[in-house]
Amino acid sequence: MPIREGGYYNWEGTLNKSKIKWFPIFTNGIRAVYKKRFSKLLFATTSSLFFIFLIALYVSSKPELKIWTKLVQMISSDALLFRTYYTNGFLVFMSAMISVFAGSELISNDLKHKSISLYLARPLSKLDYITGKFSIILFYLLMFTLVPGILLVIFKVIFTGDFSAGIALLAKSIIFPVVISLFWSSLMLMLSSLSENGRFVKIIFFVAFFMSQMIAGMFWGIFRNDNFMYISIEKNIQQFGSFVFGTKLEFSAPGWISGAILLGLTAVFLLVLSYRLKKVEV
Amino acid sequence: MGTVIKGENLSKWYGNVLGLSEISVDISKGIQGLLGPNGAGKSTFLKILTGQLKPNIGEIKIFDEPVFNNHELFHRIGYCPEFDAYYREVTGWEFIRFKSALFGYSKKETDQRALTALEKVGLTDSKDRKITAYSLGMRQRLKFASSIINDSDLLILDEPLRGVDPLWRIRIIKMLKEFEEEGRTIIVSSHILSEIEAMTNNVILIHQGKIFAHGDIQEIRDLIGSHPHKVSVVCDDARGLAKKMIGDDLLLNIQFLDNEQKVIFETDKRDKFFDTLTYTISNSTINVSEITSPDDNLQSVFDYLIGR
Amino acid sequence: MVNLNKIKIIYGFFVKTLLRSKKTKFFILFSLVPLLIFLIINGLKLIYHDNLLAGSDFFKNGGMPFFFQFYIQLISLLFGAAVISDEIDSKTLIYLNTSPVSKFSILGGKFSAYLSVSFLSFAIGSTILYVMTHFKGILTTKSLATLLQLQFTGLIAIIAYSSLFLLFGVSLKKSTIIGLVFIFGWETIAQILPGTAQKLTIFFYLNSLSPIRIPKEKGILNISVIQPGYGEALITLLIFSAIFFAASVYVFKKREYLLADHT
Repeated sequence: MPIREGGYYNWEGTLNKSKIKWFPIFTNGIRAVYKKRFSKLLFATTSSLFFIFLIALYVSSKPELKIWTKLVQMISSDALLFRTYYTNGFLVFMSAMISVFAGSELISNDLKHKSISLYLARPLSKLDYITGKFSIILFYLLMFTLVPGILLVIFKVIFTGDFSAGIALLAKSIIFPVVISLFWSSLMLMLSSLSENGRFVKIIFFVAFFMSQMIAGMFWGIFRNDNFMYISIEKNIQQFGSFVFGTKLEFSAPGWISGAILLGLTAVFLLVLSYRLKKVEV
Repeated sequence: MGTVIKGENLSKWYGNVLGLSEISVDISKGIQGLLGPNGAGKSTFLKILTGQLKPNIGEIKIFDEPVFNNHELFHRIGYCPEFDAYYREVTGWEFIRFKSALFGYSKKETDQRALTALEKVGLTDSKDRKITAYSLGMRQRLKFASSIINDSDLLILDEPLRGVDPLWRIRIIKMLKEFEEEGRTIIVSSHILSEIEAMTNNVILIHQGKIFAHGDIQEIRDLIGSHPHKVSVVCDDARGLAKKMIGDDLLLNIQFLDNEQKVIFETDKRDKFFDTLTYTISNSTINVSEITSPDDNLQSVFDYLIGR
Repeated sequence: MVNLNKIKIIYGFFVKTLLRSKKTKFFILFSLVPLLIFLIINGLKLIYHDNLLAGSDFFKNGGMPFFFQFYIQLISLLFGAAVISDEIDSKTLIYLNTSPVSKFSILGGKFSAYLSVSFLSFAIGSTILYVMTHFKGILTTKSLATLLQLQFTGLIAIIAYSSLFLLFGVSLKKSTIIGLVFIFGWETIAQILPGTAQKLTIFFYLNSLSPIRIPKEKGILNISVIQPGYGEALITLLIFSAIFFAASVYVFKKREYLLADHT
């Protein structure tokens, strides 16, 4: 049975047993990412999309501005607008950038400085460690996907005064970014656990992202079979987005499979991550 | 004595943080201990000395040549850095040989010097193992070996004994004393005062970016007027001895520890006190079993000057 | 001062360490991915009794974009930026900076070592792919000449990108992120911008050197800038590389590298 004690000194008081043992990892990680150079630039750039879509939402909710919906197809329906917001290339790329920025060195730095054993020598399990690290990337991803999405729904309700449409949209605006953020976080954390070199981790992440598109494109170009699009990460995100928001699918193959692929890959990445950490000596 | 290192009004800051403040230093041959608490400025000083940093104000010269961007100077300098840094994919031999080759020796001499350096630190048997397989002490010895390849005139050692086992500590200290006798200049930075004391009596004490003291430990100790010397004597008649010692305005304080048959004298006239003490003991029947100076050492100098 | 002997010593040492490193092994294996895809595609075509994909078509539309728009840029970023950044991260820069070796020699020796290994990784994958996709006519003079020219183009590309990323590595802390933004941001967008923005990319000149045209996106309003001639492109890239390298040496000489918190 592991010994769980309060530290390396005699403790005469009573321990305040926290249920969320990984919380200090989370809070320290959030602060550390925020303090990094270019963090504000990255966050401001990512947030800019929200304001563009806020304007689009306003235009789409005003009957007198209906002429614009004819000109700009993406705001012709709420589903299309939200789906476009969540699956456009810019946000997908920026989500990847945020994952790299917040997560590429989370575990690789601990491996480099041999500090994982310091974490695990405390009353902290490997699951607590993984959860703490995972929550850092998840926090920032949700901050720039889930939060703006919910705000867009709230603004939609404010602009139209229609509560009923907002409920279904809210549910979809929660499910989609949560699934995608879980995917990015697990991929990033798994890659971070594979090498001590943070630079190498960043590059491998982009290799995985762009290679999946390239390979999918190659196979599709030759076989003209839409099923090969399932190889591409970006296409899966877009397909799943179309499925969730009920819009026209990106390619002619079942949309739910993209969701299953993303969740399945998330599970695989987490398994690889826990296997990697098992090898760390304590 | 010829000056080896001359620093004039050296100041260095990192943004708003002051690393060094108007340090002037003159170092000649022999072993010089460099001491100071964390954040004192020791590493900043060593980085300036080894050309890693350029002072914002002031000038530093080694062998009368400027240091920064002067790579030729390193033919005469050996440096053992503080960091536990190593190239991952190479063996100890490959690393030492590489360092040796950079001095421009012939192939035969390169190999010979590399082998000699490894022999001196006892790593000949492990030379073909990857550095990643070395223990911390072995890596430290390897670093030290890399600094002595070129039989340099100046050796700069930053925490050279960190992680080294006691036996090798003694051997390396002995090696450094031999280098001193050969006429070389050695600067050793360490947090472990007993190591410095074992090597040298000459110290530079840095605190808050300034030099607090520079010179012989005893001489520095004598100058610390606010902390008189303590001399502890264990004998069979402590009070009798004290009675004989009172007078001539030598003593500032006397403390008796009767259960230990000990008397502790405080004096600010150390040399005259010892003259009087030896005369008194030799002209009395008091049996003395021990005379010590509990605060006549580097630790005390350090504590008194840093003000703990 | 240039000391060729010391550059040679540094070169030899770092080629050895790089060839043993995991990232080199990864990139060599990674260079074989297009070959694997080619074999899978033709395997599937065999299973479904379809006409096999022509090797030359695959090489032009698959292999060329992979190597010249993706692989070379990434390997140049990983190795080029790492010349000094890795030494700073692992704190081993001190061993080089406190040796009697000029900064030019340090950078020259290391950079040429990293270039050599990058080129080797590229050459292995691209040569095997070319041979497998042009198997029938490989022993003809024309085919071999094309292969050699491709290798030369790859070498020039690696030199150009690596010297740019070397400059990022010696001057910036976040060299990898900025390098990625350059590759996937600027170089991608500039290709489709009208006007002469394309001339500010390395890729623009590569196309003039390559014996097989590298496919690229059509520009906005379908306006394309006229490709420079072979000689002009080669000289421009070599001048870019020389400027980036010289700037790197200058920065490396002047800059102070703090390897740890000051004590």
